[in-house]
Amino acid sequence: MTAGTAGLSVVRRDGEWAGQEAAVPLVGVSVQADLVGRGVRVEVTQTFENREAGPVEAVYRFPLPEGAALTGFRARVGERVFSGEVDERDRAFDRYDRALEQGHGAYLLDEERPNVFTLSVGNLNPGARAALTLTYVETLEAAGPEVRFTLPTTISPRYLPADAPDEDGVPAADRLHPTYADRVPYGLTLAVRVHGREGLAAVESPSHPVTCRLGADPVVVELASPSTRMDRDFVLTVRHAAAAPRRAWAAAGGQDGHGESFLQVDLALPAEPGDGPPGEVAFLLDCSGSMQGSSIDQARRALGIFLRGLPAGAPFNVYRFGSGFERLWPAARSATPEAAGQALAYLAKADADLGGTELLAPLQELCSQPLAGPGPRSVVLLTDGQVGNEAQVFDLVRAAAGRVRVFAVGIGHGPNDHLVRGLARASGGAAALIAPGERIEPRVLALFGKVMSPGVSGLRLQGVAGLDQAPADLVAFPGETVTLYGRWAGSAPPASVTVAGRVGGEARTWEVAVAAAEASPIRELWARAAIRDREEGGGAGGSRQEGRKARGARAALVELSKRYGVVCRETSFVVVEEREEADRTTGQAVLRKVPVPVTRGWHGRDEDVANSCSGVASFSTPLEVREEAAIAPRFFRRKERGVLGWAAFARPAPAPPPQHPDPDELLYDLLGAQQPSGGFELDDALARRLGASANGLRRAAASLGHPAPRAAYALISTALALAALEARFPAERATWAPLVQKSRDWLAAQEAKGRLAVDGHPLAAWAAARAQLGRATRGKRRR
Amino acid sequence: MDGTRYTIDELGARTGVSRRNIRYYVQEGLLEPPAGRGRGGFYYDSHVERLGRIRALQDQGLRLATIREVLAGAAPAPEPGEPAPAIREAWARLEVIPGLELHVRHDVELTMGGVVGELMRLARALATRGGSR
Repeated sequence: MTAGTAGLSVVRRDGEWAGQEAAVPLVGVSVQADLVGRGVRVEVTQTFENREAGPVEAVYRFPLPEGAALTGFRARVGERVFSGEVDERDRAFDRYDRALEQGHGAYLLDEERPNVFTLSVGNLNPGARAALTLTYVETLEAAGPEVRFTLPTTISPRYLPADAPDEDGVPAADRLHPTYADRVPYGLTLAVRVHGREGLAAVESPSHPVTCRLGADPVVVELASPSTRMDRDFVLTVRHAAAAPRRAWAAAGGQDGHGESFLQVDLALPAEPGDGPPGEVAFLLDCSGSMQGSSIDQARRALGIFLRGLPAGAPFNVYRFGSGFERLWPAARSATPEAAGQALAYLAKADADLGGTELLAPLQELCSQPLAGPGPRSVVLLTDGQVGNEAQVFDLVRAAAGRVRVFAVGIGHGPNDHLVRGLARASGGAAALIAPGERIEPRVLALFGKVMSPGVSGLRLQGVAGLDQAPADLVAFPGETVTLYGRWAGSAPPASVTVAGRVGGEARTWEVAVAAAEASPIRELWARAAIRDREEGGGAGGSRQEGRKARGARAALVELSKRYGVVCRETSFVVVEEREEADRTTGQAVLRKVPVPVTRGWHGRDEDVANSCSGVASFSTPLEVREEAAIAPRFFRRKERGVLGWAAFARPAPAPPPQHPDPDELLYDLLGAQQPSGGFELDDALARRLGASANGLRRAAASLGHPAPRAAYALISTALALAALEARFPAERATWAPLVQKSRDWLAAQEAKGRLAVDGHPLAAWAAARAQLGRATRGKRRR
Repeated sequence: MDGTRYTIDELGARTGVSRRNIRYYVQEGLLEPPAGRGRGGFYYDSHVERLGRIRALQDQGLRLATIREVLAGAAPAPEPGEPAPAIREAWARLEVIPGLELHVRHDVELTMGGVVGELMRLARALATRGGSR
């Protein structure tokens, strides 16, 4: 490890590739996942083989989703299978190391971060093969009827500040970073079984070409390529026919005789429009090198639309950061047309040219600067999250909770989900992760409604005596689906539970009926949530100068982790494969660190020109057709790097007619035409896409009989734009409605001054008819 | 070699350093490998002293990267109670255009982020204008 100072070079390249090819003992990674509703159970099998002349010890560092509850670890050596046990981290290492000392086989799985793990495969004899399988369960994030499964495959080089402290006597970089190589001799195979065929509307992967067997239940989704390069997250979006508004399950605690029961409650919080941001809004845009390319374009554009939707007078400011940071104004300013114009111009100039991802410094300023008013500061952060000092960042925002809340959006091929979600958790904000090939705008704009809301706080499960709830302290937002877990001593499940919470200052309750759960991992999911509550409850940990309290917290974590068999940062899974005397390894095993590919798109590496590459399976058509298709470059920015790839993907037959332009494009162009002061300004091009023209609108404006032609044109534009949103984007209503509230108000105020009529028809009726007409001439929207 | 021989367990018990970290320090070249073959080798008083030194420097708040330099004699050991010295400076390399970079020391970048951003923009504007001529 040479990058002792960190901050600069985090990529290590251990020599030339040619000399290493034979020395990579990992031969393949295979993933099997079962998805039921929002729950997923995943088995990841990593197979190692020693093709060298002497014994080796293989060390492989890999990612998992940060919400995963790691519940099982087993080793298969020949015909024999050995099950792992959870033990305290250093004790587990001692067992591993002692076994190796005696020539036995041993396998160790350490957690470095909730989303970074290290597997050690010890004493692999020449010619020997070992398959290590880890099992995890996770409750997936749901947005309405859509559930998303994400499997990370590689760890991006993460930025560590120059003064990042060591962790347990080891430099942070050495606990985070694998060895990188341009090419590796292993790949990924994956199969996801999606259960409940009847309730599915669509299954698609924005990240990879996939094939989908639709006939049976479960629906099986597989990677189209037999061995896929592990350089980006695998993302699968499952759309159900309808969102489940609320459900709860109870399960007895199992055979270990603790006499405990467990409860899981899913609750979709009703969407209710907020009245505007409770305090000031700060936009914080990651302009580090890793954001280069289409990410920065889309991020800028999304923030631009967001800014236009800010209610008049709301204080706001814009920051951008890389290795350093800069701000538009020293302090927040009220949203006026002039201020918004300045901010838009500032954003237009923002390039991804600021070097490293030093997130701490701008957050420090945002957490310490005096607030403009009584409400909290809402920080809207767009980042790939490639920082390694997560605990330091969380401590900072946790200390400012109540004054500052962070709405974090993770972008890129392998964003650090632990940072993005952890920031939201620690500050009482919200998080969103966006896969490449997926539009940034809708997800950022979905956050708009949350930023405008005070949030739902103090969520508590009531109706069960002595319930130990996890997460204990959760802030959520209207429209989100929250999941709460509970543990209690006893076995009789309640018929129903009550979820209590506060929306703004107002107390609310929701009643949820409880069903019995069969073979459900609620116990482990509760344990994972309880572990996280304790891990993120404050204090970075890992310091030598920790006090008695911290030691107590460590002991409690270890106890929880061992009792429920779920790994945490203080524990590891360990397996010892006892060998007969003749099979024992003699001599020193050579250490082989398994190299991994750098994340695609990292600092412009292999910049994706084919961003829209995706595999789609839609259930509205009965048959699928496999075809070879050229992927059109949607964001062809770097011609010199542009490699236009051919990709095989499955898509519904018959092929839909080409959509020009992408209907979503129209939505964002339309929202981008909103004026910061309220009202829309449609130019001729945009008017034509709505089936009208600037001249037509001018004629209609003239018939209004308004004294000022400009104002009359604005009235007509606004009425048409609002009507077109209603007519064309009813499904996205939740996204755009809060954004255009100010234009509705503006139009209503103008109408209140006197009746407005076009050729004798009321303005609204004219616009609605015009919008329908425009829609009909342009063909129907997808979906 | 003369003197007392220690197993890795005994070495850990004497120094308070975990087995995991002893293996790591050997692997990283901070600690001499044990005498004898493989993992079962023996350690001597020199190992105990070396590990004691590492622990003491860690307790002063030094990071391993710095300790490595102190042990190698490349950097002065801090007086007890003295704050850990900044032995290396971290510099960021910002690329204006391929072949032209701006180098900024980390702390300067943090305190003068705005100036750095402005410089980058100016430099880029100049560089691209020069290129097109």
